[in-house]
Amino acid sequence: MARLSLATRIGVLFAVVTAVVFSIAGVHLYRSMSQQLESHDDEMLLSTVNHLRRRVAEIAEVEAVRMDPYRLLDAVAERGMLLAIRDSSDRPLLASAPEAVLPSVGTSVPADRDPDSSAIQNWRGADGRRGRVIAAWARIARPSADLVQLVVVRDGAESHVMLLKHRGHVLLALVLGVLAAAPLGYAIARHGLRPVRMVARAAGGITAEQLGERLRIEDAPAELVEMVQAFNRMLDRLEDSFRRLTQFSSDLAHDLRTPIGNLMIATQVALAQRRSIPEYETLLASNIEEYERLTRMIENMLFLARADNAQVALRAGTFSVEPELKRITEYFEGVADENGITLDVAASGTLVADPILFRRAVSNLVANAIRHSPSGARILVRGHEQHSDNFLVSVANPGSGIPPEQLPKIFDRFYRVDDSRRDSQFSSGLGLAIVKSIMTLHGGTVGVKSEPGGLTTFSLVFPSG
Amino acid sequence: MRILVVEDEPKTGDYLKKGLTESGFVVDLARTGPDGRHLALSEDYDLIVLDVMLPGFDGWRVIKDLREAKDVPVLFLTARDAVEDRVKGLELGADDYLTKPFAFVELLARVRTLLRRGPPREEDFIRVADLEIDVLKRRVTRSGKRIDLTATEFSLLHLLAARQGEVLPRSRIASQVWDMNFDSDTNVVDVAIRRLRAKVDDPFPSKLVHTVRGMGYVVEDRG
Repeated sequence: MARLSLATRIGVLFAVVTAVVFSIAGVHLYRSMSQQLESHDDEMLLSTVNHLRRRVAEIAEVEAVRMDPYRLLDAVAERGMLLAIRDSSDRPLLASAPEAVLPSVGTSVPADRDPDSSAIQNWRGADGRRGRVIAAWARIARPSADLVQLVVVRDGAESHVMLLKHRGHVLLALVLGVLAAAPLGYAIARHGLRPVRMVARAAGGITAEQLGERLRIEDAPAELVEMVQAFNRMLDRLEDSFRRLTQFSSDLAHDLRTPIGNLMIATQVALAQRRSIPEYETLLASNIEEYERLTRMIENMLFLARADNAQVALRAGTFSVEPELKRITEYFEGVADENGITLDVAASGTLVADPILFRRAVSNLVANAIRHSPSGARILVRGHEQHSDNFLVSVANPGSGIPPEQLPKIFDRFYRVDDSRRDSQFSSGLGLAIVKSIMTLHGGTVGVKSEPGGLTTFSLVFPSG
Repeated sequence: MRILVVEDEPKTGDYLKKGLTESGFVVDLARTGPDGRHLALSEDYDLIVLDVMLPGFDGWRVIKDLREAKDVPVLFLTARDAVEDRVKGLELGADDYLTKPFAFVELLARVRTLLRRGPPREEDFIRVADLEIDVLKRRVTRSGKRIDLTATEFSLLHLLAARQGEVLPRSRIASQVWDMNFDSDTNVVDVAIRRLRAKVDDPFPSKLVHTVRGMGYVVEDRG
């Protein structure tokens, strides 16, 4: 059952519902029909009794009933009824059927009262026939004015046949209805589910080469709009990730090619002739620099890859921010000093974070700031609690600034604001990407503001607690 | 000092043997897990350099079997840059680890540290040629002349002088002096050395702080 298609299930449910509805309606119809027939029979009985009473009233003496039976019998025969008449001492005077099939009715309607339906009882003949019966006293003409008892039976056979026929019709309608409802329900369901199949087909047609394609929301019925939107959003995210990955791979290939190219050229040129030992030494040492650059790049990329997969375990600890920032600026003091740059630290409060990753993130920002500051600049390193629910660490440096259109891209891997600085052997183009990864690991954010010719400020926002 | 190197990668193994031999060690090389375990158990070594990924069975098993019999220090090499690997190695009783790719100087520095056995004895007074360092008073003199150093410069000089003759790679200097345990994209160490030289070497005819290109820095009296 579990693997039945939706359309099949709906078809079956349709059939079940139809059967239930038809059954209820059929039972109701059958009942009201049989009630109607019964009340029709009863009315006929009552009118027959009245008619017979009038005829009896025309008769002069009791014996005349027996003498001229057809006068009364015809009246009931043409109405499809049975009749028995007895005199006041319960002797039979007349019967339209063998006496046995006619009942002796105990309570009879008195002659001076009009019969009503309450006097009618069910009747069951000796041969199993069913029907309705009424008994009533009638008075013959004056002067004798003797009483005779009328027993009138309405045989139910006719009604019974009609009811059976009716039941057959209802059952036939039920079967036909169910037979029609199942395939109709199936067809309707299939038709109704067509948009789902279209969505599935469209989704099935999307491959890595056409991640730009989207499902058309206009084509989707209202119930599916949400699903189509969610699906499209998923495609957006996939496309973005895929684009980044592709970009990353090609950047990676390019960035690896550069040092490897350097190594090959330098080594081949050196081998083309005999060189002096110092020349060989110089070559090997220069190769080492390229190897170190490659190693650094690989280490950084591994870090990013692991951070992406949340495989970097945070070893969070609580530490005081000011000494930590002082330690970092101390590390860079020499380099800053050589470039005529001063590092200015002001911080307060404590922070819960992974201290090694914190150091790495801030170091990357400070190294970046030193690289992009002119001589004589003052780099401001700040850290303090903000709005009591997060902690802000910022690194600001004066300089030419970052053009606004480049701001969103600077955290991308291998992105460099100034392409001519590519040759810088210490900048891997991964520093800010690593900062961003570290902040993501901490559930925090990194932001940047830059005024052309003014301050460029990077802010790390750590969530508290 | 005898060292056993267990490494299956042919070039790496050969160069490790060559490099360590040239640094004054007697080196045996095994290229599989079973060979490595056999040598480690049957011979007496002062140190074992053990690769984790080995044919036969891996380095973890070698350490485990070795630890049941001997207490020789083990430095393991792992290509996998996974924290679990390092934790596992150290739990099994290894003494230190290096992640591939590593610099040979770094390996040499770790090997020397492990061979010193136990915490190195801090000298209170260090002399390199005419350079004298009073560690307790944090006072440095050269040819009797007092040299004023910042706290960082003093730490740097102390680190190099305490291990005079030993080349220290930049990464180790950054880690020991500033506690920076990651490769930063900067030449901070070079600059710090330059500034140290300006005070310790530049005013004097003989130089004590030397650059070993492609390797790192060393303090020694080269006469």
